Amino acid sequence: MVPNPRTQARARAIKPLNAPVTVAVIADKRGMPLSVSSNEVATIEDMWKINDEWWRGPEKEIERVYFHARLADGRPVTLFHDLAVDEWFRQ
Amino acid sequence: MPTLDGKRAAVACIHIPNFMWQVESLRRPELADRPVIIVGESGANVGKGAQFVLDWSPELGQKSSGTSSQKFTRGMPLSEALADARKDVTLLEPDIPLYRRIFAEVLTALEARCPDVEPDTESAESYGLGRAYVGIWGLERLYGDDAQVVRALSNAVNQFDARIGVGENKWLAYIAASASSPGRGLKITGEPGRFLAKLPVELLPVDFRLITRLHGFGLHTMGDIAALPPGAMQAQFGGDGTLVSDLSNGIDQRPLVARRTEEAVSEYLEFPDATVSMAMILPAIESLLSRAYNRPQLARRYAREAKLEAGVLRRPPWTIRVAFKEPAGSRTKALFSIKSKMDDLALPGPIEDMRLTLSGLTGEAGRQESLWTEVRRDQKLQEAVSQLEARLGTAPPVYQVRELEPWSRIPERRHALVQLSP
Repeated sequence: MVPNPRTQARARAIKPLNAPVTVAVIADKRGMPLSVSSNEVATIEDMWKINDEWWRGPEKEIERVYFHARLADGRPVTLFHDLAVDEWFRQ
Repeated sequence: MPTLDGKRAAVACIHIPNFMWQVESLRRPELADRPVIIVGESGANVGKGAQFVLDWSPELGQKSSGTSSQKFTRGMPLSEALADARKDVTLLEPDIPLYRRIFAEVLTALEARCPDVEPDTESAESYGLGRAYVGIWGLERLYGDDAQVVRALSNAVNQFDARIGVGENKWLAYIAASASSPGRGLKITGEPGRFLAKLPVELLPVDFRLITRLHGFGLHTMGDIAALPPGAMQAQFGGDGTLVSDLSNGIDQRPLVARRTEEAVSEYLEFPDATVSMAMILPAIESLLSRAYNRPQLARRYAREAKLEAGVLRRPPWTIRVAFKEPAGSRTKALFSIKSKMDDLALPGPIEDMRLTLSGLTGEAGRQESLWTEVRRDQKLQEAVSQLEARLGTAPPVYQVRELEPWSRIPERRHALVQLSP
């Protein structure tokens, strides 16, 4: 049973748009995605890397490799590999 | 229900037995001699997918023993009815919009004779169709005696096999109508208990399951119920027990409430071929709207609601209601709202014909428009948010997209949703 928080339903907070969502990716040895959530990747259309906020220390540093890929069923998808935590995200 | 002159007021009941079947046999005469059961979803069971008996052809409903009791009850499960029906029975899907329209015409014809007409809406199984009560007190100066009033009412429904009964309350009028023969009226006078005593409990306006329980207790006629004290009936069956006890003794306290007629404009068209294409349906709606707004009743007036009823190929009819946020005074405004509503809907199948009804007609002939619309836009938004806040009791979850760091290389930092504050 989830207890009643006894607070009003509020919508005050700032909600970031386009937040990353974890996704299951199988990648090859070079780190290129081969499949995304069991969907085969047909082509990698673009790829770039961002490295930001390194001055905040290794725990808060942002280090991502982005891929703009097209899946075998034709859907486009933007992914990144978070090198700091070694996880994949869709964005 | 006393009248000014101290006499007991009289109510007439116009009962069209098997109304749905009668309408079907009028439009499809080949069904007139065939055993038919009209099946559909019923009362509280709508949306659950189970099929129930809504109506049937008269000879199918009679028990073979020739007793006056009915073999079927409205709302009984189809499986139960089929177990008791003939093998060659035809099952029909109901066309409720058509039945409602024809019954509305019947009510209008009755109102032309007597002003106080109340459709019986209490029976959910029959969709409130086929039975109406008419207040006939005070009409003797217009028509003469009750027999003349009954004749006038009978003329209003002469296309149907209708029964007319007169009694001192609605229940007795209905019972008189049920017991009368076609084309003749029946009036219950004197002690109603004696008249009711031999009638079957199936006539009581209660649920099918309660009727079954009454039989289980050996209560087959209203005389059986009237012989028991009301307290015992209430103790066994609750509120329904009191109701059946009162009715079995001829007591009915329900007042007659005349219906309020609503002005509406209706237009109809048939498609050359059944279609699911919005490219055909939307121009058809536009054409119906054009015709409706060209009618004199809608000249310089606005409609608050539109209802679309469509006949669907091999499926039950489809109906949607569109309430306009602001009354629509032109074809284009009404079409815009209808189109927005239809964008979210999936058609149940190919549409064969369509009827559009515009209702909630306003009396205004114009609207005050703003000269500078941009100036008032924020004000309108503020008002809408205030209304939502009042309705929800808290700040409404209405957001707007704001730029935070549009230059950021990290996508989730560029934009955010923040609470709308106009």
